[in-house]
Amino acid sequence: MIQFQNVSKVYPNGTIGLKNINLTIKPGEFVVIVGLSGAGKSTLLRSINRLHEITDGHILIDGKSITAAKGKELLRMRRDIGMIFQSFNLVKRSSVLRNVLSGRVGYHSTLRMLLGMFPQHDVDLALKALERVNIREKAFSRADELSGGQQQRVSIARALAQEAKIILADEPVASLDPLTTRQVMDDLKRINQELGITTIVNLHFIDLAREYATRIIGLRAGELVYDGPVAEATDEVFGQIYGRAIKQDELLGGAGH
Amino acid sequence: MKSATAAVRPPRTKLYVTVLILLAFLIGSAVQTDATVPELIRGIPEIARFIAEMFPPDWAFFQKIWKPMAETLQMSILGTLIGALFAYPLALLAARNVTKTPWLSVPARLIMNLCRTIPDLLYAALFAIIVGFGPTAGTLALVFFTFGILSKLAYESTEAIDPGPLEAMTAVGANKLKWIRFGVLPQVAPTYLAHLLYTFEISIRASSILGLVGAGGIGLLLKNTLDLFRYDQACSIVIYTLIVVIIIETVSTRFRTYLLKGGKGPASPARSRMFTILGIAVTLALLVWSLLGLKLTGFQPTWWQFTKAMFKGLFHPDWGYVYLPEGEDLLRNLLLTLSISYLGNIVSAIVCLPFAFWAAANMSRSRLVSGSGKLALSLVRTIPEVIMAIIFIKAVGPGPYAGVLALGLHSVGMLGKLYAEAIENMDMGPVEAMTAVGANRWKILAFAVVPQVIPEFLSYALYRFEINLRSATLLGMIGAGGIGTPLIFAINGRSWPRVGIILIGIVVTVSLIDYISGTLRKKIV
Repeated sequence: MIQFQNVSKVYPNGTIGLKNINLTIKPGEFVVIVGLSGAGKSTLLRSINRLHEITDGHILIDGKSITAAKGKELLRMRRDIGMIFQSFNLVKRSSVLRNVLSGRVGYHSTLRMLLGMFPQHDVDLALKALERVNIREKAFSRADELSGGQQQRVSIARALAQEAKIILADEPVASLDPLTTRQVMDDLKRINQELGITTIVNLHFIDLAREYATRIIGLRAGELVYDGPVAEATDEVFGQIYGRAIKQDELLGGAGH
Repeated sequence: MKSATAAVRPPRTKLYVTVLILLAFLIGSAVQTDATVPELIRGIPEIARFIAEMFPPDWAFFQKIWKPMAETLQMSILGTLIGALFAYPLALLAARNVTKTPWLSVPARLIMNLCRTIPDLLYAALFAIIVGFGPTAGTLALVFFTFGILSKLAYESTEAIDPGPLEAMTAVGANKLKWIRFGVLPQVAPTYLAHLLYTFEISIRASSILGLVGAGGIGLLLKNTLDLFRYDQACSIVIYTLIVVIIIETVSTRFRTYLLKGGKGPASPARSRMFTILGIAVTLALLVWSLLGLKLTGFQPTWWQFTKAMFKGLFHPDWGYVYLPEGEDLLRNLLLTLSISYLGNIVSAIVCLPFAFWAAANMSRSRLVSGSGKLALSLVRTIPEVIMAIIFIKAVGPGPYAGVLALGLHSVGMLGKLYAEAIENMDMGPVEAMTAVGANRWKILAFAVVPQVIPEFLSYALYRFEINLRSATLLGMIGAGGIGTPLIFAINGRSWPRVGIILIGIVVTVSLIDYISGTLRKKIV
């Protein structure tokens, strides 16, 4: 369970990132955050694992405040939160397997990791994670030999190998074409359903949000303006979130159906 | 499908073999140069004592410094300008897009590359014998030295120009000279000028050490103070020289960026005309100052005989010297030189790592941290390896060990800078991802940073090895071991056939290593 308690973020230059957010996300939910670019989607997502710091309030994960966590405690909490990035953030020159294994570093001592010695159990786990996203056969290829969609699936596998209880995905499909977009979203959805991993995704395609989410959160200028089930998120609601009518480029369109 | 076969872990034999070979080289080099770890540790207190004696520097010594300092500058001004006079036409001759006839461009490139393989100190030693000790020899050495650098730079930028205007000039019916004047020159002029400034910067550094082999300038004074054990005076010479070098480099770099990137906004024709006139005036003033200031009278009447004897000897190399059963022959000295540069390289590649991370802006929160790291590196870098070598010779005694230390320390400055840039240029995405995974600083380093920068690091280290080898051939000339020692003996004893065979040995070794290293570097990146 993730709880936001009066969370605010003000940048040093005075810009408001988040404004008094109160939210509770229950285990196993598939939440999609929507909003214009600059509305604070990324800030909200990254404040959960503290890649971005908040200036006020508290964020609790399973009842424990990550906002107050320090040093090793913070690292330990991050270990349970997987993250998927728009630009994949893989080490392109390393093998796929090594990239997936890098999700396991939180489980072992620093010395052991500097030597790069992973136990067989980790390797098996990594290979299984790759199998789950259907790229087991690419395990020993270099990451940059893979297509964009495949690379994103490697980063999903990294989060799986991490044995994360929560997956944060920050615009996971923004650099992908429509077809691979659906494959990646399908993977995320399947993992969410099969393993019960709480999944929070930032998206700017409205139709994708409707198709995959169980719950939609709308942000506008750092403020929570909508929070509810998909069924209630009508075009009108989106119009309110965006402050205007939906544009064509905010729809992925029918590709892949 | 290939899936089943592709999922097998590829063998890592290649990696293990490479590491083994590198280690074998390392041990071999350490044995060759007597630079073992205990030996290194034993040298540390001596170096510390030596450094302690350098401080405080004798600031009053400035009165004796400024005259040879002026001579140093005059030599490099004159040398660079004369060198440039020959370099640009040769560059045009060598550029394949300007000179379409291979029987002109191929020999031009050959001359260019030949001039470049001979290092500054060697030119100086040769000219000191031919025309006698003094600034004349230094100026001549710098003419050839700058010619080599500048012609290569100009040639490369000439070959890279846009062929469009050339085609247009051909279509207009221009003859070859008009074609160059209106098609080529307008395109290359700013780059040519920037290269000239850059070469001038290098030539000042070179000029300050030429005195060590008797070719005038501040180097002679430095050698004298060291021989008299006045390390405080030597220290003030080094400091003053560095200040002058840094000031000139800063100004010159400013101009170079202006030339290549242009100022803010479009330059008005009146302003650029003013700059041109100002530039020409300053250059002329410097030229006159150099010509009046330098005592270019040292020409010995016998110089022609010497030159003849030298060329005759060079073309009849002493083949017997290649291998002598009792040792101290060409092959063993070359091997020693290789060992010195390899060991120096390894030392610097390891020592510079913490410096590189210290100096990389994306590895620390505060600019202050990385800024101070960059400053430390550039301070190390500004002291030429030859000066470092004579300092280390005084500290640990003459021999290859001093050479290793000099090369190692000097390369830290250069490699550290390149490494820091490689770190700054890497993709920060994986660092972010590893942070999100919950990795601490060391784990981030091991999984997000190191795998990204390793190929660049290796490539730069190899590149540095090529440069170190060139320096290592010189270091012997001032007593830091390797092939330079028999070379300077042969030059001073005027045994030209021996000089000839040593030169051949150096050129062959340097070219061979360049070739091997170049091939490896292409494979890495």
